[in-house]
Amino acid sequence: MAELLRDLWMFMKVRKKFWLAPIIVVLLLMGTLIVLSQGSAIAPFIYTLF
Amino acid sequence: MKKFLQNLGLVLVSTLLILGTLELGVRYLHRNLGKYPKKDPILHHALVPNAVLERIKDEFAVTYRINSLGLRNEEFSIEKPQDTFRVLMLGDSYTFGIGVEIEETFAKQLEKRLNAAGGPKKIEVINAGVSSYSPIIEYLFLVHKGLSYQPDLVILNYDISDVQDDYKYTQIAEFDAEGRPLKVNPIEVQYYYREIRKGIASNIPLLQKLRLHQFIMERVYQLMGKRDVPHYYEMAKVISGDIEYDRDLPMRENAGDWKQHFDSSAKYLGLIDELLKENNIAFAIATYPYAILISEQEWKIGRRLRGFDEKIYPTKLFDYLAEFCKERGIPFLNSTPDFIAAQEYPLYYAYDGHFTPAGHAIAGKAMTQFVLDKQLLAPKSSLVDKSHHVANP
Repeated sequence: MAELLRDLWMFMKVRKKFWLAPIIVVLLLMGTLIVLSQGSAIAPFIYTLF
Repeated sequence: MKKFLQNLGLVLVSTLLILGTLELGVRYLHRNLGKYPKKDPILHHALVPNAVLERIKDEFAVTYRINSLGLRNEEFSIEKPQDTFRVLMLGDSYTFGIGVEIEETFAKQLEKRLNAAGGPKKIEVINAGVSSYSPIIEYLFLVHKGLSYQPDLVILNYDISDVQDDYKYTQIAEFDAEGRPLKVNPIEVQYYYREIRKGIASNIPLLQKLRLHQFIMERVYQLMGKRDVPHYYEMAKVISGDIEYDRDLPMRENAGDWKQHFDSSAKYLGLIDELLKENNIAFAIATYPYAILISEQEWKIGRRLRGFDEKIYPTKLFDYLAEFCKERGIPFLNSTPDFIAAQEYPLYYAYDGHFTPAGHAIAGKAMTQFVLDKQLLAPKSSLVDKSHHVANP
């Protein structure tokens, strides 16, 4: 995983494609959130009717 | 400086692009999520007609299809067909059938079993269960909709949470001079853990409209819940026994004397009884146990979050209900013994707490036996429950 991130960083640095950084960061954060929150079901407790 | 601004602009565009793509993705994934209840000027809330709602959770994946009359039922003609005996099932989320398909609900199990038992008329059971309905709203539902379906029999499924629901709805309802409800205004009532939601959720209108924001916040709640089960347990203990916050009040050991709150709910049951008598429609009341009333093992996760330990809890609610029905000569079913005798597991979802398909099957079987034993399919004139003394005929 660390190697993949390093490769991505080097790719952005060499090719000067830093605009890719937000896309990668957002996707990583979303992925982490989805994986970590799996297997829990607290949400139905905090429902609203409308 | 120009180069820096160019790069900054590129990063901003890139950020907006990925967030926009994710927003579209979430909207596509949740295209069938649909709205669940909508605000209703008379009934506080009601199902959206013709809605198709997918609910995919860890414990179940179901689709709720709402018919054109706003009920979780197949389409049916308001005008009752000849040679049809129509049963109207009132209730809340347990009757609605959270977590199960429509044909698995105890309402449809009853219909199937009664028709299989044979009889001169076709039996049609209409499922009018809506989450968080309670007798005050069920009375209004009958007045404004239910009676027009010309039911021959109304079965009201009284849920343990109805005690608190009626207490809450009474505060936002309007009444006529004789104390009969005219409407329950569609004002949000405070529910369990609402404060936590308010604490986390954004108050920025634009963010509230973004599905991506909802998607992320739901997962943040889930993360919090996963980490904080002991915290939720302690928190539930703090509010337990307080009718303002506690939906499980009738099962709390520290609840004190809460019969006054049941009496308030019973007032609406009495109004329903009178209304149905005036219209020559048979009436029965049924209730069923929550998991903690029958087993230490059932509802294993959810019970901790609601501040319950791994033991069986008692409740006086069913005694109060039985006494009320006895006084009025209303046939009454408490299916707790049927659930205790069942050899199946689980009858309830471990987290959610509603009936699994097996739980609905037990409830449907018990209700069929009850309807047959009490001869509730007989003509109305012979329907007085002869096993009970009628104090106020």
